[in-house]
Amino acid sequence: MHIPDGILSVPVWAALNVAAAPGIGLAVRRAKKGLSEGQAPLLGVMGAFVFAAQCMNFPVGFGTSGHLLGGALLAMTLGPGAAVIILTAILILQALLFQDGGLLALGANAVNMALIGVWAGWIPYRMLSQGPLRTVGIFAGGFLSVLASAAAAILELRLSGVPMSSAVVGVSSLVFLATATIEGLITVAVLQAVERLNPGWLRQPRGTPGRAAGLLVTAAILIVAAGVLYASALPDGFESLAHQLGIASRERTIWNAPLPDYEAPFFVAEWSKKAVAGLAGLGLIYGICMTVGRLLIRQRSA
Amino acid sequence: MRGDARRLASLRLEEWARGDSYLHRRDARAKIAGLLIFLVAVSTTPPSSPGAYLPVVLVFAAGLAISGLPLPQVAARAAVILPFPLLFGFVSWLESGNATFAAALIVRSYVSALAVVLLMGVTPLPELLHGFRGLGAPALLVMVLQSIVRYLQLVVDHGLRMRRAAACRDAGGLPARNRPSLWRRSSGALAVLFGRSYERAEGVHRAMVARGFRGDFLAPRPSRFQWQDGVFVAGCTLAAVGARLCMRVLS
Amino acid sequence: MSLPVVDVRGLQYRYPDGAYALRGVDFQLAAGESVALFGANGSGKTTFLLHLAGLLRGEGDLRIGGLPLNDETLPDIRRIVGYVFQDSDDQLFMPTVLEDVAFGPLHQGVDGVEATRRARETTAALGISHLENRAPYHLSAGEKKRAAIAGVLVMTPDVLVFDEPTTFLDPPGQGDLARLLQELPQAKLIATHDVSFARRVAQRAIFFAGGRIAGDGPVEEIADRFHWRLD
Repeated sequence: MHIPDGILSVPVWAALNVAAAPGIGLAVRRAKKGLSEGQAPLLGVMGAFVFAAQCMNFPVGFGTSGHLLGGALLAMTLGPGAAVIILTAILILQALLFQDGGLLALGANAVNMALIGVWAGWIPYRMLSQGPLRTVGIFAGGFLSVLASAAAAILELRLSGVPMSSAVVGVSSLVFLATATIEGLITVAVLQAVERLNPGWLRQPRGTPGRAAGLLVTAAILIVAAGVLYASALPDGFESLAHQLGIASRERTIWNAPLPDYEAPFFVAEWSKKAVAGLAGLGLIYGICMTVGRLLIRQRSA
Repeated sequence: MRGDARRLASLRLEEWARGDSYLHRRDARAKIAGLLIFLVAVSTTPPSSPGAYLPVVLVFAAGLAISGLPLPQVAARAAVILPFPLLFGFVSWLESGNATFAAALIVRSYVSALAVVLLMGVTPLPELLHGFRGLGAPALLVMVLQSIVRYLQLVVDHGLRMRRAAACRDAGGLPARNRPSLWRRSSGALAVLFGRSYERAEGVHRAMVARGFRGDFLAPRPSRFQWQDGVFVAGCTLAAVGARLCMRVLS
Repeated sequence: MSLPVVDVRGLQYRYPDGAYALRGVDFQLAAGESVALFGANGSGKTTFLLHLAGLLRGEGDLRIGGLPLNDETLPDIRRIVGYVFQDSDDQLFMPTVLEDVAFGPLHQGVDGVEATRRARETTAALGISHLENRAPYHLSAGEKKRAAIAGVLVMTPDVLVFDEPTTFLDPPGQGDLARLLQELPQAKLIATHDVSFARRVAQRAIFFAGGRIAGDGPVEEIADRFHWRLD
């Protein structure tokens, strides 16, 4: 689910841009460590593969078809660091070339699909892929990567004050469950086929965490994602928070439509504050990106 | 296959980006900054009514006029984002009964998308990626972006050829009970495409190493940021601020 | 006679699974000489060529331009040997032709302005200046091959290595390439299946079989001796 610009409220998209920058910075560092002598082109070409794979339909039944989203598959083959970078790059290109998702909302989409999606897909595989529950781990990875991304997106929309009744959230949740199941099934099928071609293409996690712990962590991710969806469906789930973050100023303007003259100065101050805050936010995000980048470079060369 | 439509869509952008207008000639970094300022101005305007966005629409129209891009096609390109805000506009209309707010949400999304199309229509993608690099994006991320752009069509074409080959051997539709085999074939095809991409990456890596690549990607330093580009960014800021002021006056 | 620019003695290479790909190859290439490389698929041609650019490391003695191949000389050797890969799409990995041609000099430590200047000079020399800002994906196979060669020539190599350069080229494209190769003064080693192409660009030929050089002599003679013909 690519969120376009103009839907999320300012605090939500700004905060998520700030959150995405260090997450991606860390992934860059992780990926550089994990790849031997800069196999950097691997990331790019596999990004092209995922992009292409998203265009290939799988028959699902009932005359419909689904397609791979690929976050979990990439994490299981190239590692989570590389997967985060690849998915971020894909999101940037989708926003620029195909207007899939907005630019200010890029941080939100990256947090949902690149960060949450990859880690929620990687952890079950990492913890379960060595024992008899291997297939379960792969399926759970694909399933949870989609479900967790979707839950995060719904949460962000709710926090932005987009009104949604429990019925709407309920129906969307069903759609998400179906999409997540399809992603899990495709991930299992494709990963097993890739493994038959060349087992060396898969990440084989080192060390064996206990099966119980693996199941527990997987269940925890599931519960958190489902919990977020459920809470979003509650009528008063996020209303007060949403009020503060997004809709507060909007309500005022909606219901006090023709502005009394004496309020104008207040509003000028209000909007200019917002604009300044927005620009300052951009500057801040930029500053954080640069600082994190510098730090990473310094650490790497040290 | 969606790939075909997408290929046409991005070809059109490339064609536009080869133009030569005031906007085309600006430094990519200046244009990215200008776009972000514009988007912030749009985003911080509360969706009180669709009319509130008239000033930013005028700023966009001025930009479009300077760029010389064709309005109907730019409008059509940006329209691909509409399903999402339409859905949410509709939902919020049902929930709150407030049609003005719903319409404003849709307009706000659409204007943002129009601005992105305008940027892409006046900036060749390679230049834009250099611009990201110049603004401090991690080198690895920019390189990944470049190679995705470079190899996307090649991989998509490979996928299409495999699909065609499969279709040639497929006499008529398979009966429903053979659906598992259809599924296996699809996943097998994706796995082969995965492998081909992996091998392609190895070939590319070898070619890079043969030309002196040692793990760190070097790019030429971006061209000098000229005073005209500074003026452009200042102009964008003024236009955005002006538009925000007008929105207030209008409402 | 001057020192050979490529001097290989007793080169052996084993795949990770232990099978031999090269079992003792001896080969010399004089400055400015052009040699065609024949042999069945899987006979070790590409494996041999990859050694010359230090992309594979086997056992034996390998000297390029008088330098023994080791970690210290590797950057120099990669400048001396220009490797033109079979699939131009592997080689043209940058967004535009000009950036791709500038990639080699940049990664040798040349600064950006100078790298771009050299790249422009090289594309002009190869008659592809008009393609500078094009994306490689939209080029014809012949244009891609020229761009790939430009990316190698810009590094002023003394030896050019071609792996199946006529693959993907139509007959006029092959003719074009043959004329270009005849004009280039560098020593050349050209792996190809096409005897008539080899005859136009090389005087001498070697024949690979089972990881060894089974024959060495004039192109026609080698083609006849190993029945390397359509019929």
